[in-house]
Amino acid sequence: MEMSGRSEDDATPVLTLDALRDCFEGAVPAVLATVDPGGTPNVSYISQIQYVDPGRVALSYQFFNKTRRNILATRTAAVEVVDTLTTAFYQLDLDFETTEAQGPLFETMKAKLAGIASHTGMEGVFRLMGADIFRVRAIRQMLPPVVPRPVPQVAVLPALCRVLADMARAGTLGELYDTALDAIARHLGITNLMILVPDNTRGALDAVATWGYAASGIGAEVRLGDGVIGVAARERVAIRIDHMSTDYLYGTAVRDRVRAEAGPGAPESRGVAFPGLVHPESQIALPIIWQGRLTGVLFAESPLPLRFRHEEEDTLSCIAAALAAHAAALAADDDPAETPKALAPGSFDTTLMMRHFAADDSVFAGGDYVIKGVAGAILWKLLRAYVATGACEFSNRELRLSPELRLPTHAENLEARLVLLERRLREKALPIQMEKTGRGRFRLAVQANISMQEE
Amino acid sequence: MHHKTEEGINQTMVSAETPGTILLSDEVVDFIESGVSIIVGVVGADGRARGGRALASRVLAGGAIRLIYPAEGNSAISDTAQSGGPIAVTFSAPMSHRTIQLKAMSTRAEEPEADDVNSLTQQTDAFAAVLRAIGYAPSFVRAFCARRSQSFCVLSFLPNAAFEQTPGPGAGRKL
Repeated sequence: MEMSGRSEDDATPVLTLDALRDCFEGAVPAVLATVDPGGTPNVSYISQIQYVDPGRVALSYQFFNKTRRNILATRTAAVEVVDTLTTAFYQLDLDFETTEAQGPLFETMKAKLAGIASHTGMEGVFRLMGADIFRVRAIRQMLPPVVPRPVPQVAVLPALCRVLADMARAGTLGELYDTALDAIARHLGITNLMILVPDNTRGALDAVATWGYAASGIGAEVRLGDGVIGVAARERVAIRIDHMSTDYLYGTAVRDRVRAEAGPGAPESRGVAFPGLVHPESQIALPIIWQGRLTGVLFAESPLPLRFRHEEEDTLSCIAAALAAHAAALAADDDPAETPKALAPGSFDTTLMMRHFAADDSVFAGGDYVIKGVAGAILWKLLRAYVATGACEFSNRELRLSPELRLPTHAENLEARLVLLERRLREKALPIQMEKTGRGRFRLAVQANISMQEE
Repeated sequence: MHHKTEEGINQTMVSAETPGTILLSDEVVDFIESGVSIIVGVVGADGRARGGRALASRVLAGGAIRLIYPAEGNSAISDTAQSGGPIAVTFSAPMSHRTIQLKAMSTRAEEPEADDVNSLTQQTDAFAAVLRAIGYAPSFVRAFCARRSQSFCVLSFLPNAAFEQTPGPGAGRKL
């Protein structure tokens, strides 16, 4: 990239795309100039410029118009962008490379464009046809900054260090989740947070830890592809929205659909209400990926627009990466198995009727929904073992090897599902609780007679 | 492709007598003089497109349009006015999204007139009020207004094509 930002004064820094990312936040529409092969210029607004990497940007392709024809014909363009914080103007010379009409970059831009459309009253008009990727050939400063860049309320890098230091102290996966959210809230000032874990057997994610909501919402489900969380999980890319759009709001429609799909066979709603904000303006979801596999989604939201910018996205991405590594380390070193102590099930004054629906592995205690999916299958297996043999000591290893749990080949995320199950049992205050007895080992503490019914 | 494009128009001079010059309706004239966002596309010496922003416009009785733009940060527009090169100018109202693009095959640098200054003041005042109304930061609006007190330039052109550019299915339609 030719950088003509260097002035005669050698102390003036060279302009880089990394330093201009605030210009791409969409507050002031950018100017897009093109030229046709006959030399006639064309000028239009461009709704969205997306930072791709230190050498490339992508522009939203929405309509097959003159701009589009010029880009395809001459493969060049220029954009003028404004940093709204400093009012500096920059012009970028662009060379067209390719168009992507699906995939992570496309989905990232589609979500942001939905937010821009919502904010500007263009819902239903703006529709992303493709992400046009350009190499940045030159950057020129057209007008210098007038307003000093505001001092950030949070110095992000030292705050990130503190978050990572707090996370490093967690000794269990459950602690890691809670510590991470608590540290993000305290050190970065982001106050509505969730961690969700995927259940690939049913194409959904379950909230396993939340922060800042009236109801904990542990066990709330988000379908793959729904809202920013579901798209981030499906595409394995950070999805951010700066102004809420009904296209991405995990709202009533989705909740109604989930309930309708539960069908008439369900004695009551098979789900936990999503605990999210009713009127969020900003949302961001970061995939938690370990060795190429999705192990969770870190989600944050705010009632304020434009709450999460590139810097917050990068910071939360670092935290998601640390979560992935730390969770993998915690899962790796199980304590050696002890000889299980099998006792007859105890005798109690009360009896709890447990029901299992094989269709989705949902488990009910009396009439109350407890859990479903792989975590539901695990609970049912544990209860069967307990009722049949009195066994109440279990190891993650034996669950991982259990064919009836339908765990994927690598049995990834078993620990996360156990955290989810443990938390749901605790929230429901059932006379069945899980107690950790060591790394990779736990005990089922049962305080009622259990009767089991397969539906 | 059946789309009618403007490449076929062969014009080199800015003149009221030039064939192909279009006269804008009073309604369109009122719109582009009302204090809207004005962006400009020209072609640099290297053949690549360049963008810029203008502050005000005046439509004269013969159909010529005077474009008033800040000198600073707009060297590509100044160079075009000096060389007489082609231009594209898009006028847009942020509230309604109504957008119109005008094109001309040539331009001419002009000496500023008193009426240019009046138009500059009126139109930037009106546009600043719109920016405030739609929630731009006061510092941004102040910086926008400050640009008009800096030195400005004027160019003129005779539009030979006008296009509807309001986002939506009608965008690109000739007026």
